Amino acid sequence: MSSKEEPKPIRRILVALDASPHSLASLEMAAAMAEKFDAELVGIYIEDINLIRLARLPITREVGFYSASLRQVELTHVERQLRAQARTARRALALIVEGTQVPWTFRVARGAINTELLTAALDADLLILGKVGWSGRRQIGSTAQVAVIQSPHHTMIYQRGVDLQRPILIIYDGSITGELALATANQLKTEESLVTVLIVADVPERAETLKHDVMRWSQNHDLEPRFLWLSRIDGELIARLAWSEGFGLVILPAESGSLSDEILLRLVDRADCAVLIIR
Amino acid sequence: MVSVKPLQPEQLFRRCDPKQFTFETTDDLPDLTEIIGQARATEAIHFGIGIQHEGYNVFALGPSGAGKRSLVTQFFEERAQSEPTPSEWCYIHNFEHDYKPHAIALPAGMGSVFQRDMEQLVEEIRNSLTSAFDSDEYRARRQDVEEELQEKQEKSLEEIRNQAKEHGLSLIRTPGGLVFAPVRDGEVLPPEEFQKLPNEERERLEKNVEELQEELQTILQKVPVWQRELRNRVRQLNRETTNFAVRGLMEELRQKYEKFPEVVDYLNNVKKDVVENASDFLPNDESPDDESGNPLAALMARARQTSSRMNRYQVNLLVDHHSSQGAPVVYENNPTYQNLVGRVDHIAQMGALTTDFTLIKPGALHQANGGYLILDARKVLQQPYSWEALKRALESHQVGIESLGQMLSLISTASLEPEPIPLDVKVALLGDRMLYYMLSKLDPDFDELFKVQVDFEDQMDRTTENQDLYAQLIATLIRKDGLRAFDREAVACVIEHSARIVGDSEKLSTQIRDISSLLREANYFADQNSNRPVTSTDVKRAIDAQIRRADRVKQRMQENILRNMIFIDTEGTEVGQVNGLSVIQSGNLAFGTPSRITARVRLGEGEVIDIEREVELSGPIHSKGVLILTGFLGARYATDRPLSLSASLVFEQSYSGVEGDSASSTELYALLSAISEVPIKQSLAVTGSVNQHGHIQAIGGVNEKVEGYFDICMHRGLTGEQGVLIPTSNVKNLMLRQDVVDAIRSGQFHIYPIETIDQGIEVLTGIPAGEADEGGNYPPDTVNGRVQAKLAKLAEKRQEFSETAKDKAK
Repeated sequence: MSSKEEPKPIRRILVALDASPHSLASLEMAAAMAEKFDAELVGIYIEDINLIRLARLPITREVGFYSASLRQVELTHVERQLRAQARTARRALALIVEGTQVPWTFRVARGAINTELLTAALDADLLILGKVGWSGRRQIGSTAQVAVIQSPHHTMIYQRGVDLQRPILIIYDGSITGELALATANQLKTEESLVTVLIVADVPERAETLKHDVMRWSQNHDLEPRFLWLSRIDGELIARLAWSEGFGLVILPAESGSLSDEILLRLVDRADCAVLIIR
Repeated sequence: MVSVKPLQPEQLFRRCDPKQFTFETTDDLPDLTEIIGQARATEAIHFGIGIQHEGYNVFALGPSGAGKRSLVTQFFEERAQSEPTPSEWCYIHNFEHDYKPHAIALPAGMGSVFQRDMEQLVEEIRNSLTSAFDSDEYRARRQDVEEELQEKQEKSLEEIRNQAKEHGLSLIRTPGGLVFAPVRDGEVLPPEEFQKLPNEERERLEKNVEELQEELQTILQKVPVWQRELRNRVRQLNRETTNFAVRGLMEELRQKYEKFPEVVDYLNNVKKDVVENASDFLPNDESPDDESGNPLAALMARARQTSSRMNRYQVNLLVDHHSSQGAPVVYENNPTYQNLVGRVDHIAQMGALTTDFTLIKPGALHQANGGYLILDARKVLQQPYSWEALKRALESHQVGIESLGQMLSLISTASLEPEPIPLDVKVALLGDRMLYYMLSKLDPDFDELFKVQVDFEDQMDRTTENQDLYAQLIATLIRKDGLRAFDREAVACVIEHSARIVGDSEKLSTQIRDISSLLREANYFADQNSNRPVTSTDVKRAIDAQIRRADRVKQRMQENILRNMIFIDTEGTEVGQVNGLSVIQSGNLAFGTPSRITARVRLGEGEVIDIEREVELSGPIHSKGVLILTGFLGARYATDRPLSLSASLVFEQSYSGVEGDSASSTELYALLSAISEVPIKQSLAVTGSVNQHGHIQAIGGVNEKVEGYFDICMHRGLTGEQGVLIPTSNVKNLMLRQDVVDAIRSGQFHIYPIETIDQGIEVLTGIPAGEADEGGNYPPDTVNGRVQAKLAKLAEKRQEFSETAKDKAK
């Protein structure tokens, strides 16, 4: 493990906003990280093209979520609602960064949400979005799923109620992005944060080697982690571990050989903390 | 001729001989432990304190500065020390009706313990519940319950989502709800392409959409039911967890307070309430209600709600006696309604005024409950509703707190109706006599509630013993104020001044405030002169300075006389003109000033016209005095013929009202002079009232009157002829200034004690008054003889006029 590699600096953070409580909560985290990394914060609201289309279809009716009543879907009404949500998102962003030195911009795009988001993410070093959107479901939302798998850069999936004061868990299997994960954790930790490194290695000897690597790196970077060891990575297992140990953030390297998309999605889906995928 | 001898110098001022004192300075004297000159008041207050029946509250009446408050406080405090410390009163939350807080009594010192116990209990419950609700067991059970609902909900939606998928439709979330729409490759079918679909296909999709919508509606309608079920199950789980967590803590407190059933009941209610509202003790979790609102408002509302809910378990210790010894003695300096019966404060939250039982504040009645309360009667009466509130509390034996705004329906802000607290207090009102008599006459409740009258004397006898005690009193006041010691000459001087204050050489003033002021001021002058101890010179200087500060009006009036703006002769003689004397009160200073009184006579029908009365510038007593003159004249000189004169009397250059009868003898002298045409010496001034028999009666302010005339004469130059005629009965009131006494000693000024009109007229005219013989006739060369002759002449003339008129009529 080479200690000469420095993580790519995070200069631009993209936060996806759909005005849902989860996305507004992720905004707070995004602003805190922008301040920490001295980065620019970019808010994006995407007007879902599907909503525009369905409003123009003659057969569609809206069933009220709380009233269960049936009503006509009007295009003007949908557009008005989308504009209102965009305004809410912008206001929330402005409010959050008020009083800080964080430079920020906000833009509205229209199109297929996933496509537009991934396109916008190309220009960002870190994409932050809520685990679920307006669906209100507990499972990971479709947009978050796409971001977890396809986002070109670092991606954080955020849940309400999580803060960086809570302990941080880093998954380390010796992959190249593993060191980036360590470096990012080191930047994100606060004085009170406890950092735990979960070594993923099939045999104890390998685990010991990886532990030594991390310890050496840590000595050079003023990090004092504690260690856990797992012989294989399991999304469900890590989610349970995060819950029982009270971790606020799990950082994992996406390029790891031991982390399949399925495991990654399962981990994000099951975890009740924020997950930062390092790419 | 009756000879009236002027008074001797020793009759003009009764000295206090410093040699009678055995001390050198007041430092040698012990403190006075008894109350001097107030035997009646002392007895009454002993009675008032001792008697323990309803309505035996005390009203201490007497002039301001008589030491009423000090005396009442001293007696109350002495008594209170030997009495038990009363219970402490706490207000606690009423869990059934939160607007009616309960009041509970605890032994002295227990209230604060109970208050701390409850604070600690809340903290312990918070910790205990936080641990319980943070435990793995609870989290797992709760998650289990919540997951079940979530899964039920999501499963239903997933099923319908899958059904939709089978029909080429997708369930899409819009900002306001859910919509089924045809999709292709994950995207909603553009409308143009939808239009290109065959009719059958479009109809099929539309039918499917309608069916799915109906099904979705059915599912969504079930959601509230599921959520209610979830809430119930979570509530039940919370109850179980809370019950277990707090049982031990509550039991411990219940055992501690088992002797106090009210506290035990309260603790049972607390436990019930904690179990029902366990979430209040937990760190704020995010509830679904907060999602749509303003986060700041939601945060503040939550903080407010939590803080207000936590208040429920507080104890408002209204009266704390934990450091008290004996019963309380309270003096309320500002007896407003609220300061008397307590108040309920409000606090502004988000623009609204709110309150709870922790904002109940005690009044003086609460503080004094079980002891004694001292109030200034005038202040109580001046404050709106205070008097009624005090009477209500004393009559009902309880203190209830009712806001004035609520009582008068002035405000509609939510307020409380705290449970009234039983009242056992002895109240002492302090006030002047007029106030007492007015209350007694006009307020039917007053005599029922204030049965003990403690009447303070204004003055005390000036005996040798009392002078010794007075010296002790002076020493005590000096020490209390931290003043320099007074030597015995200074003490004697203060005693002399005390006699002068009451205007009686045989009495001493009990106005402690005036004496204290004099002591402080004499001390001030002693400080300036670095005298140690304070001497009689300092005391005299202080007295002079007091007069000097207040005598601007006096100086202006004297100046007007000396500049002949106001005519007052102090030498020569005049017919029908006499110098009268009056007293003017200007602030704290009373001073005498002469007035010219003149009389004119003519033929008439026996009436004496008082010009002052005709123009309504005289008071009733003055008018009475003038009418007495008419009675005197008629009875003495015209018993067998009509009184055939018309006389007019006037206070010259008097432009304001005249009251009192002290000038009635003066007016009579002027009248006799005018009738007899015998001139009166203008070097003399007169004071004294007269009765119908010609006896001279006592008047007030004799010292001021004498000094007022003396000052004018002295400024013009004393001739040895000048002097003042005073009633003999006022001689004992004389405590004249030293310069007056000195002038009299040197024969330059005189004071004549007069008993009858005859004595006075002789002194004023130098002609004998004359005594009537058996036939009622006076010798012709006397004043009375001349008066009689003149009146006879007038009567004859009147007779003549009457006969001429009759002849003309025939």
